[in-house]
Amino acid sequence: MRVDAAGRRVSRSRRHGARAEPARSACASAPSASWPSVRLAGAGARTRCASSGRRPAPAAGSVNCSAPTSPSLSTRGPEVAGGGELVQGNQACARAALDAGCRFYAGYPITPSSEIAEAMAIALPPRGGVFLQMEDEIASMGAVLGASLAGRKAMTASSGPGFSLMQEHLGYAAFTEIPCVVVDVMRAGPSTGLPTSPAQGDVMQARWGTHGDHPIIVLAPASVAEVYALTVEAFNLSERYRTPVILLYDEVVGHVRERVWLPDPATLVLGERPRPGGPAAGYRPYAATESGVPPLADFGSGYRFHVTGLTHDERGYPTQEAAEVARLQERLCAKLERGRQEIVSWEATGVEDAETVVVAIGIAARAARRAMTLARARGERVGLFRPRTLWPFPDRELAGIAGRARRVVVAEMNMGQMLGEVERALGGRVPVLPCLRADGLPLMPEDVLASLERQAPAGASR
Amino acid sequence: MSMVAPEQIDYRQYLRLDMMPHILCPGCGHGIVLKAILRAIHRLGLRQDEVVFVSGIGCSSRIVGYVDFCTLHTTHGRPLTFATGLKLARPELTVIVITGDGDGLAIGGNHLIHAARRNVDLTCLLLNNAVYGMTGGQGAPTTPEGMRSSITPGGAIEPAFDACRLALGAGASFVARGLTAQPLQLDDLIVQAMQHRGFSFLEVASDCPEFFGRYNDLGRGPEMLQAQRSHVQWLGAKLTDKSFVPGLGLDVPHGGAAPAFDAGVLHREERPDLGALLARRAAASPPRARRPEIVPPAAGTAGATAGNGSSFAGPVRIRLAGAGGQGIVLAGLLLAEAAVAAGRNATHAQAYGPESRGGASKAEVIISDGEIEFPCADRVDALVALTRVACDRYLSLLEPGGTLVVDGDEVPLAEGMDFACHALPITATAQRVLGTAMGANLVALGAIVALTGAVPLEAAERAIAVRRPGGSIERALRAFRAGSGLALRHR
Repeated sequence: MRVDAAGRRVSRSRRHGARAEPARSACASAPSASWPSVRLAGAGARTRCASSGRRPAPAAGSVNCSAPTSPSLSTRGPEVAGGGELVQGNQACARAALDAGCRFYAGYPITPSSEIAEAMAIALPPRGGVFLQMEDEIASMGAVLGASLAGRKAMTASSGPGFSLMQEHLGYAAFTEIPCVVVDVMRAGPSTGLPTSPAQGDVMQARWGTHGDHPIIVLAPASVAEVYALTVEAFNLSERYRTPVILLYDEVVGHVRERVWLPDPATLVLGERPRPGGPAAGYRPYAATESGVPPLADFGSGYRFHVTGLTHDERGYPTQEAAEVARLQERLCAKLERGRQEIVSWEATGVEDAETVVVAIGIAARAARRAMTLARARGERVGLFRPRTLWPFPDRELAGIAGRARRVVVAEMNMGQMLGEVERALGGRVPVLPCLRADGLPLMPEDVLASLERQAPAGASR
Repeated sequence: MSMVAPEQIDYRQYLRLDMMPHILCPGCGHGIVLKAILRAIHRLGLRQDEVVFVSGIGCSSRIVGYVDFCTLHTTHGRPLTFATGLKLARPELTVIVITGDGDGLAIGGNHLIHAARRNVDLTCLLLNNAVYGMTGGQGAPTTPEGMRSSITPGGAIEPAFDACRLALGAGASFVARGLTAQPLQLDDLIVQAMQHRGFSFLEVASDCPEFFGRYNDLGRGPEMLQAQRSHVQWLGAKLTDKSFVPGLGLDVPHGGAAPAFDAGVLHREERPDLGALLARRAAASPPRARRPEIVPPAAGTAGATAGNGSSFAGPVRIRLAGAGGQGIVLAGLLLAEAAVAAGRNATHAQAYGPESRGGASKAEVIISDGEIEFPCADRVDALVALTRVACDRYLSLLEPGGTLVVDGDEVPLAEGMDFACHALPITATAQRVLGTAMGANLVALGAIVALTGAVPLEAAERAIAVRRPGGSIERALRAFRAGSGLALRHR
C-alpha cells in the first residue's frame, strides 16, 4: 500500500524552498526515494544537491510550507531504473568533503569512523591536500584549527571517545570563530563501550561537550545520500558562519551502503568564509559587523592579528572588561540566531493528519519511517519529524507541527537525550513518550510499532 | 656566527604597543627571550607578514600577544598541534612556537614528542623556569628534586627530566639550550634554530623570581641571572654543579636524573622535514582516479530474469552470517553491487565484532525495485550461515518458506523445518576448487544467487570482476561458479 495515497503529507522547511529553478544535479539514494533523498538546494551559497533532474510533481496531499516552487520530497520514480552507485556512508562523507573543497585532514584512528580517514589519506595528496595522522584527537583538532587559520578548509572525524578529547578545541574553535568540520560517527558508550555497535549517545555531547556558553551547529544525516549532502552543507555553514560544524551520525549510517546518485562536484555551490578586503591596518577579526560574522583573514595573507582563547575584544586582544565580555558572548549567540532560518533544516512526513508524530534522527529515523509506513497501512495516523539540524534544535518548527498531534514519540538510540529537548520544545502541550534503545543494536521498526501500541492513549482512533 | 648584537633594531616596530603594559613580573626572564627573538628575526631580515607565532598557556606563552605578527595563543599544552597544521597548510610561513615547561613538557609532552618525531619545520622555544608561574608557583616536571614550590613546601620528591634529551630521543633534528643570562648567545641560538630546516628545539633556562626564586630564597632577577651565568659553560662544557638552578649545589636526594645543563647547540642533523616528505609523496601520487563510470544496465537485465530463470519480485532480504575473516561482509557487498549494476536498488549493512579473525560477522543485503525505507533487516527471506553459531542466532529471523543455505559440514540441520533448506559443502568446495577455505564466501555467494535469483548470475560475475576479491578474477569466479553449480544441482 502506498502511503502517499493514504494521505502522507510532506512539509519542508523554508530554507530549502527559496530556489525557483529545478535542481541540476543528482544526489539521491533510491528509486522513488521520497525517503532518504536529499534536497539542500537553497538560496545564495547553498549546496546544490538534489535528487532528480526534473522537478517532480508533489506527492498526493503533500504540503510545501512556504515553498511552493521547491522540489517536492517525492522524487525519482520507477522510471529511473538504473545507474547510481553503491556507496558507504563514511565514503560518501569523504567524497563530499573533497568535493566541498576540504584540503586538510588530521585525525586519529577510531572505529567506526576510520574509513573517512583512510579515504582522505588516499585522496588528499594528489589534490594538493594534506593528510595527517596525529598522536591523538586533541592534536587532530589543533592541527585542523591551525590549517583552517592558514586558509584551508579542514576537517577531522572520530567517534565518541575521540570526540570527547576534541571538546576543548571545539570550544576554542567556537570562541575564536575558526571554521572547521568535525564528524562524529556515534558508537555505543559511555567510555570505550561497544566500539563496533551503533548508538546515538552524543546528542548532548555535540551540544554541550565543551565548557562555557557557545554556539554550535550539528547536522544529523540519515542516509548515505544525506551524509554527502550534509557534509557539503557542513563546510558551507562552517565557512559562512565562522563556526565549527559537527556532522553527527550513528555507526549504521556510517557503514551502510546504499545506491546513490552523487552530483557532479562542479555543480555544487560552495561557501567561503568572509575574508577582509580593506587595508591591513586596523583590521578587526572580531568586529561587530552587521551580519555578526566578521571577515577572517588567512594567517600569512598580510593581515596581522591575534587569536586567543581568552575572552577578547574586537581586535582579538584579551580583555576582562565586562562590557566587552558581554558583547562578545552576545554576538556569538546572535550570529547563529540571526542565521537560524538558513541554518535550521528538518523534514516532516505525514504530519498533516497525524495523531502521533515520531521524532527521530539518523538510523532511528529510518526505522521510524518504516514503522510509519506499516502503521499507516493499518490505518493509524502516524507522522515523522526528522531534524536534520540537531542543533540548533528545530524547536519552533516542531512545536508548530506536533502541536496539533495527540502525542509525540521520540525514538532514539540512547536513554533519552533528544527526548528532553522535544519536551522543552513542546512545553507540556503534547504528551511526549519515549521509544528508546541503548543496547548496542539499531532501533528497529518493531520498536517504534511496539511503542505505538503500548502507549496508545485511551480513545485513540485505531 | 656573529656574536655582535644588531645595533639598528627598533623594538617598537615589532611590538603591539597598544597591548602594553604587559603582564610579566619584574625580573622575569621571559622578556629577555622575547627581545632576543625579535633581534633574531631582525637579523634574519624576515618580514613580519611571513612569521607566525604560536603559543600555549602560561607566562611564557603570553609573550606572543605583544608582538606584531600573526599570533595564535592556543590551549594549554597544544601549541605544537596548531603549529603543525598551520605550517603544513602554508609551508611558506616561518612558524615559531613559544611554550613553557608546564605547557610543553607536562600537559603537552606528547605533542612535543610527536612534533619532534615528525620533524615538522617549526622552531620551538621552550622557556623553562622550573615552575608554574601563572597559576601561583606550583611545581613543574622540571622542578628539581628538593626544590620548593607552593605544593612542595618540603621540597619536590619527584625527579625532574631533561627536555633536550627528550627532544633528541624523539627525533628533533636541531636541539639547543640557551640562557636568559646570556642573551647575545641566545640570539645566535635562535637564529640557528630558525635557519635549521626541520624541527628545532631550543630550551631556554629562564628565571621566575616571583615564585621559584622566592620559594627557594634565590634572590631576585639579577641574582638568579648571575647564578646562571656563573655556572654555565657553553657548547658542551660540563657543569660542576648538576643542579638545574645554578648556585645551590643541591644533591639529588632520591637518585633521580638531574637535568643536564650543557648549553649551546647540542645536536644538529640534516634530514627531510615532514612538509618536504609530504610534498614528495604528493608529487609521486598517481593521478586522481576518475570516479567509476555509472554504466546504465545492460538491456534486459534491469528487473528482468534472474539466474535461476524466475523473474524478480523484490524486495528480497538476505542475511549472510559467519565468523570474522570469512569474507561475509565482502560477499554481501558483491551481492549489493551486483544488484545496483543490474539496475536494482540495494542496501548493504554490516555488523561485526572487534576481531579481525573469528567472532561473529554478518552482512545483510536488501534488494528491491522500490524504495528501501530501512536498511537493516528485521526479518529475512534468505539466510546464509557458514557457522553453527550464526545459524542458531539468526534462524528465527527467517521467514517461513524462506531460503536457508548452510555449510553442511558445519551446521547440522533439523528435519522438518519450514524453509527451503540447502546444506551444501561450502567450505569443502572452496578447499577443493581453490585449495583453501578462503573463498568459501564466494562459493556461498554463488549458491545464494543461484537459489534466490536476487541478482542475475552475470551481474554477480561482473561485480566480482570489478572488485577482484582475493586479487584474482579467475579464482574468484571459479569459486563463485562452483557455488552456483552446487546450488543448482541441489535444487
